[in-house]
Amino acid sequence: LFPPFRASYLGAGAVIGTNAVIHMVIAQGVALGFLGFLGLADLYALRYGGNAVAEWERLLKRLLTFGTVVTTVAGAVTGAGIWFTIGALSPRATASMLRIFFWPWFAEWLVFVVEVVAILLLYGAWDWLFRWRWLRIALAFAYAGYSVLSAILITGIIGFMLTSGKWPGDERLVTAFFNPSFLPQLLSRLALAGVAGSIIALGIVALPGPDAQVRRAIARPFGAALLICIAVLIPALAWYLLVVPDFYTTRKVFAVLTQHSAQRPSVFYLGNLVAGLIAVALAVAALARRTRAVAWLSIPALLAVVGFIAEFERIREFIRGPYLMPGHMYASEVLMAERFLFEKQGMLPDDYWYQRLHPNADLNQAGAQLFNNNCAICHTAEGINDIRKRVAGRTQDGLEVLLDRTHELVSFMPPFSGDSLERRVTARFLYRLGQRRVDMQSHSRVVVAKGAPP
Amino acid sequence: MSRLTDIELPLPISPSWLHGALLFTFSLHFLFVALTLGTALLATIYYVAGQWGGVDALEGWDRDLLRSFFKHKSLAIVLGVGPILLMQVGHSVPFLTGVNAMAPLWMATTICLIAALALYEWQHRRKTERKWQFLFVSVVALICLLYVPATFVAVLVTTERPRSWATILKLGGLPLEAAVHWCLRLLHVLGASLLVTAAFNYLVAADEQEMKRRHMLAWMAGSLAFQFVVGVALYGSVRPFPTALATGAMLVGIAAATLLGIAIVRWHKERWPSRMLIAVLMPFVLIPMFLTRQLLQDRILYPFEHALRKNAEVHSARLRPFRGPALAAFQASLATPYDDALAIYTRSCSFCHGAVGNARGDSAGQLDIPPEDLTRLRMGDEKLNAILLAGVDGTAMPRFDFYLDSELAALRTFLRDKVGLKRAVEKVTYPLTDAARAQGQEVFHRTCAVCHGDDGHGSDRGRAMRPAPPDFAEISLAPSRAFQVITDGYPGTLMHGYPDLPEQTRWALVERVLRFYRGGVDAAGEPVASVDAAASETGR
Repeated sequence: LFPPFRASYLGAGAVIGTNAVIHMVIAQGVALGFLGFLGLADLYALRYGGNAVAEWERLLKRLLTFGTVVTTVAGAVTGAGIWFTIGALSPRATASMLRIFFWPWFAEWLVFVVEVVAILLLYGAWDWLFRWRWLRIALAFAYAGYSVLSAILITGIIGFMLTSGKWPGDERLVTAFFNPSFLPQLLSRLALAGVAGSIIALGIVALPGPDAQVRRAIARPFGAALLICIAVLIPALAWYLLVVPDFYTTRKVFAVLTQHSAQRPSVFYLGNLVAGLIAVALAVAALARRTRAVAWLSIPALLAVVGFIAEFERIREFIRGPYLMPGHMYASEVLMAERFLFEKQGMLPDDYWYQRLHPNADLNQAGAQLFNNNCAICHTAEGINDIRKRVAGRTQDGLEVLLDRTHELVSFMPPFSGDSLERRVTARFLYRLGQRRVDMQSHSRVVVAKGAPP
Repeated sequence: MSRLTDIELPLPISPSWLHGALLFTFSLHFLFVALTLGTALLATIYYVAGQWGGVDALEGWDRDLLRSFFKHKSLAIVLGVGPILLMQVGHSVPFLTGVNAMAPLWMATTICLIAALALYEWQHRRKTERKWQFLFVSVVALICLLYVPATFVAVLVTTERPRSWATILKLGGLPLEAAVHWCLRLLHVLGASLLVTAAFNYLVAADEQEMKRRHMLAWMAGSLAFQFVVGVALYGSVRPFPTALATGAMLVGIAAATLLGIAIVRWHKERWPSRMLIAVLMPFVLIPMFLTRQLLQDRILYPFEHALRKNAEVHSARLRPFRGPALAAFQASLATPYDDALAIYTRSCSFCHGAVGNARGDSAGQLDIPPEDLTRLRMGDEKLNAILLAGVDGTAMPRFDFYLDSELAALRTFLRDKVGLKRAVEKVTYPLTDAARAQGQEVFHRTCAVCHGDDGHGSDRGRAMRPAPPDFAEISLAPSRAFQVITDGYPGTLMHGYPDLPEQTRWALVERVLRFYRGGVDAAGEPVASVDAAASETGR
């Protein structure tokens, strides 16, 4: 449907994933979690601030400035960046998802606009609004409400990509949006946002500077918030894992460890345990108003929560394995129904851009195109998840058999789409690629080098 | 059939609503884009003028201008997501093909935009005394910022040229005609940005800021003149030639712009043009331009997408018979988690090795080197795990390192207990004389050792082969299977059969080979043999 374009060396997953994780850390951690606490912090200052008004104002302004600058510079741009990367690297899936979820996305965009206007208002008029303190607090709470609304809208869409529920049967938007993992994932995300937000807030509170009294005072409510959010997060995650089919969840540990350390799964459990303990220790230190301990713990805690957000997204993205839209589209952007059609009639005769761009293609180019259409969404031929390493040592007839069975052999791989002749051509290409007998002239456009032995 | 088709799923919004929403959201987005770009341009110009122009009064204007930058750019970005959503849903194939053609540039916008915004934030907050350093940062920020509209315009120019897609993809860039159009369109965007920003700053400037107001009016007049010149060229560069409707919309805008121009020029003689007049005229200048843009775009994309949707209907009809089977396959696969060794063996191993491990899987017949009969294979845990992790070079046996060690451990247990892949090798029960044994040793040394090595580990020559002959110390076979291999050879490898050797010599070779095996030896160094198994083996 679209001309081949691949992210050389990194592959689509790494590019989209990196952008998405940065965005999630900011959107979830700063915009939703951290700034979501702003109203509470202002309320706390009003109630328990006493007469240290100027100090409180300075601290609150500092928190607000940090949040606003980070969200409007890096947060908003990486959010738009997700559209830039998925549109370029998975155009068919992007357009298909939009055909289903246009209205939630459109609503989410409107909410996003209001959210940004609200934070700009707060930022621009914070000092001025001091006179109408309750209005300011209400505005901060309204902002938090919009952030939650935005999280609700986006979770329905993301959840669908993991658990499409009954949608493949009825194809209704409501079914797709309120899919089985919607609620538990939403709860997990909100709790995780709270964890990240309070850790970031504690990090800023612990920065060296004046107003030590005020800082000590506010450490306790943030510590309490952190502890509460951790307490909600754990059962929420358990619920989330429970509603996701076992077919997916069996790969959750592998998703994080990958082939590099799949033989040492203890790394996974130990890493998560340590991260959790650091967060709890930070919460306890904050509750005890030990600012020095908070300062020391906030850095590893920050790393831990960023790592955890990355892990959360990585698992969700990885375990849905063979599907991009479960019940509709494979990760390779081939429709599940198309696979059966291509099995009978072949895939390349249907490939408009292949016919157009390579009218005199040889077997190598045909194999490269089939590799692109079937494998290259996950595998590169020169970098991360290098297919040459995967096929090295296999025989050509062996590869042909394995291509026929990819989806059985590896539970997270989609099946090969194409007829038996195309399977043979692909096996031949992969075999030669593994032996370095063919090379790519352009990895991103999947063009085989000229002068390669035919 | 090799035709370009639309996305198979139905459009969630009617085309007329889509186009209305696109016009509205794009206009709103563009307004703030123009303010962002114009502010950035003017701030840089006024920094240079203030520092090097010799007019003291201009100093600090850049900072003044940049004060509103933060809001403009934030709104420009968030408002931009709307039109992107609408383009991707309504013009999925043309727009995303445009994106595809410009993909590396398109993806880099994220990085450039973050860099630009961070640098502007720095400029706004830090008052460096080093003029050249500040200028350098300003220019870099401006380039990063201008990169974004340059790329967007390139994507739109491509989107609107379905006939040139193949050329653009082959070239890796725009052909001359399109490049000229791109350049003029970008200049037109920049001209509009200056106009909008100057108008905005004129409107918000206080009465007593006379100099600022005068400057802004001059910028407005200048950019209007610039827009006329670039606009005429841009109009000429549109292919195919604009329709009457688009031209009409454009003329309305030009008329409003002319009135605006007159209002500005008249001020020279009389008094300040009223803010109200400018605020009223600006929408009449801008909206017809947005409308013209959209009409020109729709004129190409409408019929093109109509054809795409027709093709999509044909494609959907072809897919219809396969939807049921696809859904059934999906549900079946979801119901089959790989959560125990049986599931893993059934899905990952049995298509070659067979459901009971006897090498009679469905795909076994397609392999030049047939899969091994697991029930008659013998090896220790370490070797078994090594093979599972690394596969066997020169055969179809793949690596299974995409399973966790716990899963592989369960699989090994399953292979032992249920499939019958044993550690210990059975004793040869064929009655062998010492003479036969001596002959077996002789044949082994003379023939087999060429590849297998006198010590059974494999000779240098053997180890260079793919597949390499197995190391007999680590891998062995049930006697009956070893006899079969010696007699018939190993298909697909250099190991050929020796049916002409006397039977007892072949059995002597079997015994010789099995004695190399160390995988199942007991404490005394004697092979651990299962008597029942040995009896049943030799009985065959």
